[in-house]
Formats: sequence, structure tokens, C-alpha cells
Amino acid sequence: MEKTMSLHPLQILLLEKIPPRLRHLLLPVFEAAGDRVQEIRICQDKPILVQTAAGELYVSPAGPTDRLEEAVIADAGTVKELLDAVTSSSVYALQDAMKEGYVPLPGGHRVGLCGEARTEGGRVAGFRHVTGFNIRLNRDLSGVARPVLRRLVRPDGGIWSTLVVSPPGAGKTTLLRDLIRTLSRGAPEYGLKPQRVGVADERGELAGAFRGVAQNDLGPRADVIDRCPKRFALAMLVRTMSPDVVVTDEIGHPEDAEAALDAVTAGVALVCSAHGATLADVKRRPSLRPLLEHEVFQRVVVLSKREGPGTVERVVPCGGAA
Amino acid sequence: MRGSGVKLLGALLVIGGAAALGHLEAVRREKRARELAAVITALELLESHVVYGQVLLADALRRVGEAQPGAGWAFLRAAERLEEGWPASRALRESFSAWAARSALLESDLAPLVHLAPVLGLSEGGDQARHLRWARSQLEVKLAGARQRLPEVARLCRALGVCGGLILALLLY
Repeated sequence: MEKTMSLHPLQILLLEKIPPRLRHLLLPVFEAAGDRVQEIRICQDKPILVQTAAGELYVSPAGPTDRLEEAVIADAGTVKELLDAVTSSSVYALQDAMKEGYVPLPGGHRVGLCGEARTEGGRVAGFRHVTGFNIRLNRDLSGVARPVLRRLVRPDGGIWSTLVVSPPGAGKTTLLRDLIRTLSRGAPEYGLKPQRVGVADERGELAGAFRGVAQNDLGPRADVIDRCPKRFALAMLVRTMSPDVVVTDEIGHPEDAEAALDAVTAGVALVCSAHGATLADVKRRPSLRPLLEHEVFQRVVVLSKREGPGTVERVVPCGGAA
Repeated sequence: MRGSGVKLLGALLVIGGAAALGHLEAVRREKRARELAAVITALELLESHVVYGQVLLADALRRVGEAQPGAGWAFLRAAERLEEGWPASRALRESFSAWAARSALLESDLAPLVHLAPVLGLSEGGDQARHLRWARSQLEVKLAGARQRLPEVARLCRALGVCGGLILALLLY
């Protein structure tokens, strides 16, 4: 691939995966916007849009532009080519992910899908026609957990059970990912000993696994169970991998909370996330109630987008541990 | 004396050439039947990898290619093209066309495979099974036609070659 020296290796992986016609259109955008590219939206008969940290851009044959009239419109051929490329011409092998509305890519990127869904028994069984894509770039940021780490380390070198609370897009997955990496490696400067970390990655966002292989660096002691319901993955991890800590993303169902509670009662620290702007929001959610009632968490980290994604609003000690 | 010797040599050449043509036609017909059977088996194997194994198309084509001598060449070539980033439909069409040039199949024999190219890999497992079974059923009809009285037809081709050569030699003599 030409002229990619200035790009991040994860961006190069993405560009290698998409069809040549789109690659030539997007390469100048990546060269101009660099690591700020967050999402690329490609929908049939609509202009190709790139979301960056600085705002939205259209894609023109001459490069990025903010003028709609110069924007390239994605035609049916482009959409078919892209579907062919992102699924490696193997839609049948990606049905489980496609039922969830996305396709995983190498490098931990993921492609959200739109179009005509097909249902069976009231549940989404796949897509009859895919007509739109939202390519979400994996940005594996290292060091974002450092500002909160000192408050999360126990005196014995382990970690307090921690809940990360954040509204969508405020960086909780990025923080969890960096926490896993740091826990797995250890951070002597913060008194943190290396931990065996079990990762229940139901949505595949923490490890960014592609065909079972983690694409994100999660350190040497992270064991990942990918795309498995949390309630099963947490139990399997505790039973078979003897973790010091288990990490999972959004606890959304009471069964997930019960499995997390089982893990904690087995003597394993728990780090997980929940959607919400404040701790009060989270306390109102029935799915988290068992964990909060049992005072599972000793620390709560609240994130916001006030100064950009990943702004740490506060780290709250709770559950009797100060 | 010398002239009749040359004539005899010419007659033998004509008979030998015609007999060889008859033999080649018989071999082509036998080879066509074998290749049709091999493609049908390859498609069965492909269905197994795609529908039950959920193996990515490039890997599935490679496995089929490695398991099937002869017809497997086209599947291996398609796998290579897919790995190079070609769209599936183009990779399959190109590979089957390239194989047609070196196989005994007729252009019409390849029609089910050409129809398969734009849909292979681009839908869910059940749909893929239907497409693959349809292609197989079309090829089975062609195979049944190709095998119909194949030994007799092959013998006839060989006999016609020899007889045709003899008649031509007599006419020229």
C-alpha cells in the first residue's frame, strides 16, 4: 500500500482490509486527520462522512472537505464491494456478530451495519440487505488509566473492585482496556503487583479479538473469553483461569450481576463498567442493584466528556473501604 | 516401387492420425465425466465447510482445492485470488474460466459455477446451502448425460477414428 508511512499501524490494517477504490479516497483523510479519525460512515446514495475528534468531514476525490457538494456519494457497487471486503466474502461465518449489528475487523476495528434486518421468532437473525456501514476505529490508547490508578491500588498490591461509570462515548472502554493492560503488567511505581486478569469480553471491544486472537495489547497475564455471555464467561474464568481480577464491560442484566457477585465471593476483584452520567444514575438501575447492595465495589470512577472523552470527574471510595 | 512405398506410408499416417483423433475424443468424453463428478464432490465438500464448518470462504476453497486433485486447481486458484483481496465473484469467475481452458468440460458445464460466483459467501448459511445444492443438481444432470452409454460411445469414437482413417486412405489411394 502506497504512502502509509505516517499512519498508525491499526489504521494501516483497516485500509488494507477495505476495497482499493475506498482506500484511495480515505488515505488522504487519514493522512490529514491522523489519529483523530474516529468513525467512517458509508451509506448507499449518501455522502461518505468521516467523524474526527475535531468534527465531521466529507470525503472528496481531492481529499477531505467540509463542502457537501464536493462529497463522494457511495453507490450500490461501493456498498457491495465493502460488504464483500469486511466479511472476507463469508457472511455466513459472521452471522453471530451480524445479528448483533456489526462485523469485527483485524486490528480491533468494528463495522456497524444498517439495512434491512431479517427476523425469526421476533429476534434479529441477520441482514437481508446491508446498505450502510459505520466503521468505528479502534484507538488503543496507552496510559489513560494512569491518572486513576493510584486511587485503585490496594495496600497489598492488588486492586479494589471498581465500577467505571460513564455516558456513551466518554471513554470507559478505553479506560478498561488500559486498566487490563496495566494490571496484567503491574505498575511498581503505583505499588501494583502484576495481576492475572480474566477478561469477559462479550462484545469484543476490550480485546478487539479477530478470529479469537486479541488485537489489542492486554499485557502478558490477560486471559480473554471473547463473545460469550458474561454470566458464562465470568464463571468459566473464575473456575478455570484462577484470576486475581475479572474485568468485563457493561453489566446489563441481573444474571450478569449475579455472575459478577459469584466471582467476588470467590475472592476475585471485579472491574466493570456501567452507562450513566453520575453514580446516582447507576444506583437506579435494577441490573446493578445486587452488586451495589452487597457493597461489591470499593471504588467508583466517574468519567465524562467535559474536557474531551476520558475526562475523570472523580474517583469515589465506597463500600466501606477508604 | 518407391512411389507405392510412399503411398503406403501416407495411408498408414492417415489411418494413424484418424485413429488418434478418435481416441482423443473418447478420452475427452471420459475425462469430462470424471471432471463433472469431481466438481460435484468438490461442491459437496465446500457446502460442508461453508454451512457446517462456518470456515471463511478463502480457507474453505483452499481446503476443497487441496482435497480434490484435478478440479481442485480452480478452487485453489480462487482461494489465492481471494487472499489477494479480489471480490469473491471476480475471483471465482476468473478461476473457473482459467480452469475451463485446461479441462475437458464444455462451456455449458461451467454455467452453474458461473451462476454461483456472484452469490457465494454473501449470504447466511442456509441460503449458501441452497445455492450450492442448486449448482450441484445442475451438474448432476450434466453428469448423467455425460455418463449415458459412455463406454459404448468411447468405443464408437475409437472405432470411427480407425474406420474413418481407413476409408480416407482408400479414397486417397
